[in-house]
Amino acid sequence: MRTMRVLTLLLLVAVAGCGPAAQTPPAAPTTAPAAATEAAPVAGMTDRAAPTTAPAPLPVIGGTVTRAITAEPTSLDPHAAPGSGQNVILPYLFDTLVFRAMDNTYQPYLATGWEIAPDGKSVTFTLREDVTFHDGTPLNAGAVAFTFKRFKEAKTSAGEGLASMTGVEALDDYTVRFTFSEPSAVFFSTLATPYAGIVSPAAVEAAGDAFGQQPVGSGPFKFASWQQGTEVVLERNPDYRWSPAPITNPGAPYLERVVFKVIPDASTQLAALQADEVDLIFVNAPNHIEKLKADPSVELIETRLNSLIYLGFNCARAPLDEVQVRQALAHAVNKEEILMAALGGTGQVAFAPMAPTLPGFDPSLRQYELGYDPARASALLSEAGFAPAADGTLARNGQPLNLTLLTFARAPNEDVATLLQSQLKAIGVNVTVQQYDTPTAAKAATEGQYDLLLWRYDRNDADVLNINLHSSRIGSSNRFGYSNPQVDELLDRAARELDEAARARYYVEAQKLIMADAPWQPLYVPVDVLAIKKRVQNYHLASMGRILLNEAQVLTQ
Amino acid sequence: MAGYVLRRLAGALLMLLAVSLIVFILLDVAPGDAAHTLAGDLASQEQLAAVRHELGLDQPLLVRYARFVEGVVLRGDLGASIVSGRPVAVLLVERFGATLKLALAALGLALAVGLLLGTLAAVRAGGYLDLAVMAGATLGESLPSFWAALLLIQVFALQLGWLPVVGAGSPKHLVLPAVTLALPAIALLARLARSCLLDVRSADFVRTARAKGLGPLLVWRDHLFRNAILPVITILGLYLGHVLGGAFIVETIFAWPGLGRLVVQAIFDRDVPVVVGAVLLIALIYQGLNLAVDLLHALLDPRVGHEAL
Repeated sequence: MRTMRVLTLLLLVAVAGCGPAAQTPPAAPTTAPAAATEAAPVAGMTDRAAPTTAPAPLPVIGGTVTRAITAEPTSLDPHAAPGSGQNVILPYLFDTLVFRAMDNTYQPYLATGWEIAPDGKSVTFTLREDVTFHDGTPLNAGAVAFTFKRFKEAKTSAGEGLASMTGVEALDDYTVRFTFSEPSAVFFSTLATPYAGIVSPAAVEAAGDAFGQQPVGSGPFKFASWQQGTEVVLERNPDYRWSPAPITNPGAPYLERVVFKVIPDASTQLAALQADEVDLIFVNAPNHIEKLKADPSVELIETRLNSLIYLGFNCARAPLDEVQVRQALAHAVNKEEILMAALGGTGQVAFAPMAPTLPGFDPSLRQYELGYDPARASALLSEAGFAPAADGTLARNGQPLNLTLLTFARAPNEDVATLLQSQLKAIGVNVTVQQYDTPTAAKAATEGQYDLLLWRYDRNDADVLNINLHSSRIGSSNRFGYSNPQVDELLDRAARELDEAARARYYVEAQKLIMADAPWQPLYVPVDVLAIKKRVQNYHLASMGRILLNEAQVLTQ
Repeated sequence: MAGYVLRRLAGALLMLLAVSLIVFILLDVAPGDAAHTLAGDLASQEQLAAVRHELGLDQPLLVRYARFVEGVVLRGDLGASIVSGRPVAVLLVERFGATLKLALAALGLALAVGLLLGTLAAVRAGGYLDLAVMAGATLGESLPSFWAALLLIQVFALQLGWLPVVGAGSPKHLVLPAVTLALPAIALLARLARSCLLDVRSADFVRTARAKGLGPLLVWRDHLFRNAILPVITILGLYLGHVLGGAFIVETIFAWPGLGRLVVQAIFDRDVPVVVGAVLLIALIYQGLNLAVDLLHALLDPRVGHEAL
């Protein structure tokens, strides 16, 4: 037994990478952080919300950071179908033209600068000239043009933002121009997503369909191996010199390896973290968070997602086609109770259709919220002609108010749905919960086979409102049958507006109308809690839940 | 005997054809299709239609099925995953290796521990040992595997630190999932072995053997065990078929890269070729195991041999 334990320890030590002869970085020996002088070995839990600014020991190359992933990607090709969890791994392998900062502004990355034509119908980028792919070929304007033609042709929903792009051409080796049929406000946010990562044309041509299994980009780490069902291993790219702005390390990453372990079960992820088998997990379950709060080796950080959980109303189906009825149901929802009971108080109550991290969100919209007010709910329903029957159920013309609530199977939807059911029951509305696997639920939702829809969106751009609520999308992504010509007009203008402030104003105006029409009752903004071992130092949190490891290091015990 | 085996194989072929058709129909009836998976949650109808057309999903069911059968029969090609584009055969081989390893480890464990406990209980029937084994068997059978798995992780990985929580790299990684998977089988086998041994012990031929003056060891080995093992083999065949089909819960909890996780994910993605390929593989395994069990019966029990073969 004893030897077993020693063996395990040795294994851990090996994994931790404090192996023999740690080399000094060939890349940046002179730029050892000045912070090293004030080194406090185990710092970094000072400010929970901000990226760690912990002083690190002198950077030595080595070490492995292991991250648990719930779903195994089907492909690591940036242009493959999104949604299988590849967006977690892609940013380490691929770089993008621009970098999205925490405040949703765009900063140079592979592009050193760009110029938007006065009519907004073309954007010209100047590229860095020192970038090479992992296969040694240069990253130039030709590669960028190749990438975006391929991305657009892939016809995935990630490429939605390229809809009005009519062409992309290399003007010279390091200048590339995109042209559009009309100005596209969603273009830059599309550029910054991992799905717009620049791929090596030579590697794509050589690998063909297998590119997703052996991806070649220009990122800080390169693909090393993929054991199906178990793990994806990346190794440091020693030639890396093009970190985006928040990174102070101008050279290659210090970590030798980044490993993504596929662990589908949340309890197992927790156990693996506690057993030091992984360094980094995301936790949702309130009881898991409680457990980790007591663990001194773990730092917990709430990350903000561009996501929203909402209750949607089927505006095409009686009696929810009446705005009064929708408003009444919205008033019956107690969001605080949902947040406390189902999520243990994590997350934040939502009032506007736009997630608070997206442009176009405005705190002043709170005054238009249809807040919790059961008396108002009952009054509205009685105005609409509903009266309580003998058993307390509301009915009109002998028709009881029975509604279905559709949602997909994922924690904590079941708890939230049950709470909604009981809250609506309190004003005399009977709700039947239908919870299905995601594809089944999505199909039923798209076909409008529901009254109430408990759903969520995850989208990095404000165009999420265009996608969900524009009347031209009825029958596909507008699952609510919601149509308001004034809203459509504002959304259209926002989609063409390249000035961020003006665009945000259109969205604020649109939201005022939407909130009055109540196709949605926004419920809450989910929070993912990142649990990371304190031995991992100098990582950076970036927008869209990204964790940059360009200058991260692991402390050796 | 050869004729019998041939007949069985022909039956198996028909069976596989039927199974593949049923899976095609079931996945066709299920809401949603792979185009949803590929194009994403927010895709427009045009995007979906384009993806469907590209994949041939807009063709009628029978056309798609005929294409699939043609591919299998003429080219021995199970097709490629719609979602990842990788050949189904490759996916199955990758995952089946891990499943086989886990299944065999669990089987070996179940066989060794289950038979040993069952025999001990039979020998000491009515005693404390018997009582303990049977109580343990009840517990082992009724423990849900997800709970047993978490308990084992808690004790052996976190408290004692002897074994890793997840992974599939070394024999050590195999221990916890194999034990979890073997627990119900150990319980079942112990109970079965005990009752069979007790049944056979009071049979006439055993009394005769004793009366002939055979020593207890010989009686146990040649008369008791050989007869009592037959139901055990039947059960083992079924059990092995079950675990070779992929033990989804155990694979999920221990992040074991087996067939079960592949199939369940493929079902959620509506990735028809992968589901059909995997179900065919599982059906084939069941057929093979059934045949093996029957042949083994004939080998061990001369009475079966003459009638059936």
